[in-house]
Amino acid sequence: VKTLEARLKPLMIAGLEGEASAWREFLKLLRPALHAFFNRRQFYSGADVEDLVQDALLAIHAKRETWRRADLVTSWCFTIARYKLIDHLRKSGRAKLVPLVDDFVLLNDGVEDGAVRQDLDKLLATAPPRSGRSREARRDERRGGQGQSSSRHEELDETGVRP
Amino acid sequence: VNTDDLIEALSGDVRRIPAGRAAQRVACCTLVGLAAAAAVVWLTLGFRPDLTAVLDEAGFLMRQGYVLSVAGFSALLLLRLGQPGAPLRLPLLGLGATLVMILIAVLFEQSALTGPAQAEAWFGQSWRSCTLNVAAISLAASPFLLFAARRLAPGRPTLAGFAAGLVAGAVAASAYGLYCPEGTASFLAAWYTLGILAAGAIGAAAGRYLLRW
Repeated sequence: VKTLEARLKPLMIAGLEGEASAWREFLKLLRPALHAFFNRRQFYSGADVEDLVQDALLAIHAKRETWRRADLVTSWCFTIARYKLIDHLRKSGRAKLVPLVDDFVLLNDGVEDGAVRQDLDKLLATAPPRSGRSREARRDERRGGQGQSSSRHEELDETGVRP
Repeated sequence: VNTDDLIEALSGDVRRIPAGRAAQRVACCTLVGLAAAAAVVWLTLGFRPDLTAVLDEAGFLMRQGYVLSVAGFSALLLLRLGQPGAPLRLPLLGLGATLVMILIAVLFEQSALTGPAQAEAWFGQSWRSCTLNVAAISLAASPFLLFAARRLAPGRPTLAGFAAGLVAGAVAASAYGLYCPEGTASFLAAWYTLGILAAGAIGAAAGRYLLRW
């Protein structure tokens, strides 16, 4: 399965070349992803998600010359979407509820797969193999086994399995 | 509006956008701002009479090198701030390196001087008016920079306004340098830098309101 990034990038480039059909395809692909993005970040405001999607589509269309070929299309799009969301929350007086640190990018469910997944894969590849095993040990623990027994089983010391 | 209709309408409105158009606009507006600032200096203060004679003097060249380097890297910073997801490393490193260079020049200059000559290098004849003049002249350049910034997509409008103000301040400093008789690194590092920062503060205040999109 191609990631959203891999599908969007050629369409973006063709759209910048002036191909209307590619740009239509681009916006259509982006629409459900934006919908999921805003839906997940409503902060109980009951905002009209479809309005936000339209706002973001308009901005993405109007500002497409600010995309650099060196950057990810998905992170460009979702940075604009996030700006539109914050703008909306500020206008409705709820800006104070936007977390200062945008930690919800880690709740990746495939929408922003380009940027976030790449970073995560890179980070996980550098993690020592032990932490991978201890994660399994922790899962054993959750299934009912004792921490000590699973550490013996995995040949790790006790500190190695502490979360 | 129905979202399907919106997508139809938007995809009916595509023209070819050449790569690098945003960068070209920022560069173009920076040059226009420089020309506007130089015109204001020429019309109000006038260029220094010995301008052609000092064009190859070290003090003059150092000043133009410093403020034009600040202008260039600030313009790049403005561009990158207006391109969602673009890295800021290069312009920030450039601005940092420019500052380090001027500080080294100040250290060399001050260590070679003693007593009242040191204060003379810091304050020159015109320190009272320099900062204020640079900040005032920047107002002739900043509309062009804010225009360029408005076409970008800055996620942090205040910061982008600050960068636009720095560009306006730096080109204003370059233009004011055609009038200003001072030639020491210490004077440049203190009062020109302060004027550029003041222009940046004006830009930040303007950007907060003007650069929302």
